[in-house]
Amino acid sequence: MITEITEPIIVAAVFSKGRITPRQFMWRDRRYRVEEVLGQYHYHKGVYRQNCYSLRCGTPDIYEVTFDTEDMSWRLDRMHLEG
Amino acid sequence: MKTILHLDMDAYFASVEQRDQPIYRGRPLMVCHTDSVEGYNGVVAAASYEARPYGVRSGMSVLEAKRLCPKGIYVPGNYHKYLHNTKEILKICQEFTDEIEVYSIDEMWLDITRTKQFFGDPGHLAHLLQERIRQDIGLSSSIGVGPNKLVAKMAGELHKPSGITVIRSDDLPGIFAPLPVGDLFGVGRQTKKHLALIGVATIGDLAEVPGDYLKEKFGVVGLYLKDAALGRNDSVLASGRSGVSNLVKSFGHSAALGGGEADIDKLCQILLGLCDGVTRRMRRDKYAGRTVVIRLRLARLFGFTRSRTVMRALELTEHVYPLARELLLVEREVLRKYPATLVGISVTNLAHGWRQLSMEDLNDDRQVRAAAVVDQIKDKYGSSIITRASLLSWKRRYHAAPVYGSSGVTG
Repeated sequence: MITEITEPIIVAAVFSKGRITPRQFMWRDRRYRVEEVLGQYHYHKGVYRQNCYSLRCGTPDIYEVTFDTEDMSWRLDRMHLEG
Repeated sequence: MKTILHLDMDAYFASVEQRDQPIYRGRPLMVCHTDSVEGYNGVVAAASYEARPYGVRSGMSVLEAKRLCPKGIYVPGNYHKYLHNTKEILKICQEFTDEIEVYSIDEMWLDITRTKQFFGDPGHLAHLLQERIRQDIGLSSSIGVGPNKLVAKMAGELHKPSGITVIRSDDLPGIFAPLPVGDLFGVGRQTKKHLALIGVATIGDLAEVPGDYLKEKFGVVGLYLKDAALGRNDSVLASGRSGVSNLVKSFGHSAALGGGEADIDKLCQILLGLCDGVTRRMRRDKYAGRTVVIRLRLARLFGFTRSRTVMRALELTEHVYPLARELLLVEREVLRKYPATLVGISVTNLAHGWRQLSMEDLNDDRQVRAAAVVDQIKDKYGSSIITRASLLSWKRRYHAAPVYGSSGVTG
């Protein structure tokens, strides 16, 4: 089941070799440690690149987060929940 | 003799979601064209192979799919992601040939006539391509190889998923003749019904019907049917790189219309949206064109184009759309009988780097200036940031896409 969120989050990420890898994020006062980046893609909103990631954080649920280069912000777009 | 390869991604949208979201793997998953993930509106854009035993198919309404497979998972499509994957797949294909026609977001034809010699034989090339896509993108595909686009596409349908089928001209009658006529590319439910009335059940039966009789019965479609049944097809690849020139020859956009659209007003609205997309790209690349071409695919049966050439090179929607609309309205009667499943527009006969000013422009250039401002806004904030009020409804329903390459159009 998908739940649309679209809320800002705080992300700790590694910027290395031209790649951005989210490691953990804070959402609604809870910390989520990223265990696996399952997929990533990007698209452009005008001149601003949007980097999107599917993240697994210890449970079967998947979190889709986006890094918006327009204002260098991260947001949680949606969650894919088990069941 | 040409060698054409048809690449079709297996249950594409659903496979991408299953790859990225492990919780969907091994479960019936439907990716839907819909605004609401909870809603029952919209249509199924792709169903995973696990959903097929329930009878769920692409193009089916979400309501019907939920009736057939109530425990399935229904998610909205993420077209940015699919397009990103298609671009990656296209990059891999370009390592095998530079003559590629992207037919849709998950299908493309490759002309491997000149390059197959570097890979041994076409079957080996197909295997290498399929493996590269599986390893690099993580998706499975089915490949058909044949002497033309039609045979290649039909060959790819024979073994799915993850199949490779190579058909040589000599093998054609033996392979196609026993197949049901409904398997012939372009034969839909209605045509199948009409063919059954004249005793045609298989492709072999159709091949034996005299062409004149089919023409009398089905018009121009009859001739297409006869050729298709014999595995003949002389359509050329709408490739961006013909090998002769990389110059841009046309700009085009098209929209796939799911189950079909017969309402002429809605089609005009869709055409207007496509014109906006086409002319924006033309202005960005500093092109103007004198010939406006509309392309229609009717009831999944056959497609045709209509064109009109004018004296003045055009680059604004306000000039291109009236011509396109006029061409569409001529086909009003045909559309009543056969709903359009795809509508496309392209502008050809291009001139680069200059604009021909008309007396109208000299007197009043507000349209030109307005288009430039809208282009600037879209360039900076994205194309969805500003649109015509009249287009607010259709963009949610239909996914329009630009053409890869110079002349083809796909959605």
